Amino acid sequence: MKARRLAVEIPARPAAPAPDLAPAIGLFHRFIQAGALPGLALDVADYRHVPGGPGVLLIAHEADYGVSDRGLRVLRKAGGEGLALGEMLGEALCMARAALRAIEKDGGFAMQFATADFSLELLDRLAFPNTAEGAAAAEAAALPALRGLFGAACEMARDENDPRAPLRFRVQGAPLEAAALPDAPALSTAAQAAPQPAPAAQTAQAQSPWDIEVEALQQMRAEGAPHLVVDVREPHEYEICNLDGELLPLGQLPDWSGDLPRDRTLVVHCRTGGRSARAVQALRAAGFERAFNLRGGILAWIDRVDASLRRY
Amino acid sequence: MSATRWKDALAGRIADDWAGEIDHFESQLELRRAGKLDEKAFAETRLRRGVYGQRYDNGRRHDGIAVRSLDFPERPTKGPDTVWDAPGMQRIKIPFGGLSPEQLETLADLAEEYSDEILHVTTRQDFQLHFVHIEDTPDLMRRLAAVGITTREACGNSVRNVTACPLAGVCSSEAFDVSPYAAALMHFLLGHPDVQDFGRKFKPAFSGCEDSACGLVQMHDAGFVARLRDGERGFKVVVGGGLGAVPHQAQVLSEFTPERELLPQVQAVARVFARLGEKKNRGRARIKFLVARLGIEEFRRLVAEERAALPPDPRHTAFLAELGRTAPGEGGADGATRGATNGAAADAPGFARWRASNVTPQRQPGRCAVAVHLPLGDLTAQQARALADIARRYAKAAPGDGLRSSVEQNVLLRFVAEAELPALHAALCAAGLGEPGAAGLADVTACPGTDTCKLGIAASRGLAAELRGRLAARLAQPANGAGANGEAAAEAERALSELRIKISGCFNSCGQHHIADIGFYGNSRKIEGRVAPHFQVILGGESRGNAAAYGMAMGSVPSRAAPLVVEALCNAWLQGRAPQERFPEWAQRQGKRALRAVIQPFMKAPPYAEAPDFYSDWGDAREFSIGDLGVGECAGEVVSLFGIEVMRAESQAFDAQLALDDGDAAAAEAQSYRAMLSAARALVRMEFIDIGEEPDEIVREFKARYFDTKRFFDRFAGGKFGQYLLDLHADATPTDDRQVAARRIEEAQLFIEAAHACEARSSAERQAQSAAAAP
Repeated sequence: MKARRLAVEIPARPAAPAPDLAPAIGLFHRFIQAGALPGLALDVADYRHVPGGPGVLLIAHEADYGVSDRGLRVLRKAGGEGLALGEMLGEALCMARAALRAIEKDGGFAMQFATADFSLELLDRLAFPNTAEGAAAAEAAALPALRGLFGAACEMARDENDPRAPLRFRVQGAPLEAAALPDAPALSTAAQAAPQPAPAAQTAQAQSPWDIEVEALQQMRAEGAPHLVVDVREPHEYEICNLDGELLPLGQLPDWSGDLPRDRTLVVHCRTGGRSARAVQALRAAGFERAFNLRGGILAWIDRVDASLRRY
Repeated sequence: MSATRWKDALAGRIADDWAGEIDHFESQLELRRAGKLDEKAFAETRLRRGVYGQRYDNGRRHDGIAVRSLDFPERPTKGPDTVWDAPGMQRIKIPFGGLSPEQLETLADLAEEYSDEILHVTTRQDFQLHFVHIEDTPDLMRRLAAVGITTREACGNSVRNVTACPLAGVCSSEAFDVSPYAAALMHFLLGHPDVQDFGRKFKPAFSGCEDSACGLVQMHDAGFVARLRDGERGFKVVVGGGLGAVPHQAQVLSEFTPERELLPQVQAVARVFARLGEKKNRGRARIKFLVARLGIEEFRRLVAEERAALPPDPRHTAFLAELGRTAPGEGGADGATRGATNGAAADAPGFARWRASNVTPQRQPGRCAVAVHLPLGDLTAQQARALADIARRYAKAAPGDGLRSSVEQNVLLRFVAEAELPALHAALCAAGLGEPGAAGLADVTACPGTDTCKLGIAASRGLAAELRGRLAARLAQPANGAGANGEAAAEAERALSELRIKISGCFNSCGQHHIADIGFYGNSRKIEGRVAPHFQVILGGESRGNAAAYGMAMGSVPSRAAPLVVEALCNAWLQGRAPQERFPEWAQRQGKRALRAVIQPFMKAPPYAEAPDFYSDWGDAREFSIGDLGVGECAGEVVSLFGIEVMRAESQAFDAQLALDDGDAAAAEAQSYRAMLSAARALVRMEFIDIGEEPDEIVREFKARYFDTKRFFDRFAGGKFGQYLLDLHADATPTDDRQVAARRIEEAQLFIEAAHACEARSSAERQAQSAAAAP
């Protein structure tokens, strides 16, 4: 059996007072910028004004990630047409776990979650109506998959909710961290960690998960978007040609990175992108969440943006 | 075995013609997906069925760092520059806002299964679902059709939703119930061959009486006001109104059109509009431009001529036979005498305040209409189901009579027994729908703005949510002090609670900012090379008398300062008002100069280094940017030169308003013309420093450099704003007509906005070139 849509909701750990949802807006924008969640992230929708509503949503092509007073809800939607219900559920849980990890890593949103059980909602009244038959069909399709993920102790129980509401189950004995799930589902669109250039200009190989293209840097310059160019080459290379960046050779980076601004976009480059990819890796590990690697380095810039600079 | 397709599951429950239309739409959709249908043809088809685009559907989005391309799966487009898989908006038109509980439940199902759980009520009584996938739309339409709702002609160049006062049928000041006439007009025009060839959309509205605000007929393409003449029912018919970028007040086509002539007359209007209306230039294609061009007398003559030539059609009058002459819900009232139920009592907390602001007595004795306040027009699927239950329980009436969506983006429950109000309030509170203040201060109206609209410039919903929070908190404070002082404070709070705020995300007026007490529309301004979201403040609008007067622009304030502006205006009014003086009356008495002085301290944004939050919008963590091209950093001398020159244009536009206030229409027109010339000159000076002051020279240079090259063109409005100056320059003789002068002022304001935008684009291009050319 297949469902068009389903949602899993990981409950918030009971806390008084209810957590402030406002920081989730910034959190979700950061997730989009960094490509932190599975799926093609599109935008943030703020429904904090609706009582009992969906809270703050990160809308992606394949899923909506939402945080509300109730907890974290992942609604699996487009791109799941070919999946059996159990597979789709696995993807949704995978996305939920990725979101929980990303929230914890970010540290900017204080909500805590209880991950021992969750609720499952089937948003497809045609295939899974909120009736005894619908519930039996859903259980037959979902329970084996759940037990495969969480072990034989996992149980699902139908909620006695409004029959007009979607069919809903409480899933117990399902500690998310222990689930036999991959880190991210295999989706047809990938999370994008960086601005993408026009297809014609695209460099074939990614050099780091945080690449940006030279055209994106050109646009940031044109727009006056706040950013700092960091050049990790050696001084003699800088003299041949440069992008007017901060010169910070790779070998000295650990000594000096403390002076770099953490709240600004850092565009790191070298000659062809190899050294800067390593530099970005190190900067990210040190907490520079807005560090990006200029894919292809200054040579790509010379080839595609400004031929007047000297090649070497 | 149950059906596996909605098409089969709902077979027999959808009218044949509606089912056929949806099947046809689905096959068009499949053809387009297979690349066998032209993208423009498909876009037109889907728009006519209410399937709209949404922000970022061109596959690009500024994420706060840079513009990113959104790598959706490779598919054909669903319209020019519109990505197939990008989420869209489905508009669902609800004639005169009349809903049955069953229809509301279906909307709830659809919101959960195809959207984001939210049902959004628009300023034209429609419902909208956001983030909908194109491939879900045929089933979505089938499920609506099965409960009697069609999305046909909800968008596109067609007859849009027929709106009506939500109190129609229960209002004590109406001549008669207009709802059945609105329904008849909607059914008559839906898919009618005479309304398929319009150059632009056409919005009709009904009102039961002249004076109340509810129908807003003066701001519609066609408006119908119920009138009785010697006991005979008929309508005063007005045409050519509209808000849009430049608002027009509708003009009277007929003082009395008998009910049997209503449909044929509208058909004749449609034929004249289809035949003579502008088709190529979208910016000039609404019927208001045709009426203005021909003059109302000539337009009236053409309509009469067309009416005389219409072939007889039994549908013109067939609906009259079905009209009951007693209003629905009258008689059979049993709840009026029933006592309070569920243990709910009239002294429950918040009940008195809620009752004072949300309940209106009906014409029918013992019955009330109850406004359910929806914050920003939003409710969840679960709340919608609760509301359906509440309507069944407390608003018992004929289908479509118990529930109405309203232009204030609320829902009305009608035919509620007075004695059941406490129980109803308790039930609404349980569903999170019991807030007071419907149609009052905290009930801020806003269009979608940058949240989802492709045209949005600033976050109208973000500002609305911020204002709601602040104002609700202020209103919840008990009036302090005691005795006479306390009474004065209470009266002030009451007056305050009736103030209306309306916000649009751009100069198009979907948020209806022109008819608010305090209106805002989004724009942007550049400060030291950085763009900050701003809102233009609109004061002096009047929603009474069916939107009798439109507000005027008072000056642009940073988005972050807008709540402070509201507070300053409220305080100035409460301190300075005469007893019982309403805000628009006070504003009128103050005059523009004094009002501007209230706003002035807030107009300047602090530099980025001091207050970076001024450079991001409400409810949006990203640094502000206006679209894909974005805006460049200060390019030195040239830009500041533009800044100085354009300031002159802005002060001239303001002087034009002052002149109009003083009753000097001719001077207002002349100042507006000068303002446009100054703004055009500011642009020309960036490239041709020695440009003189001669109008001919300015217009010639502007046309050659910015208009003919399309550099002045807006992405959506094209050359519309530039045309204002060219047209006016062709004949700048003032007409000394108030209406014309008001329009010129609006045009000047928009021209100045367009000049700002044009300068921003030019400087971004210059930056890109100089970055590329840098050694």
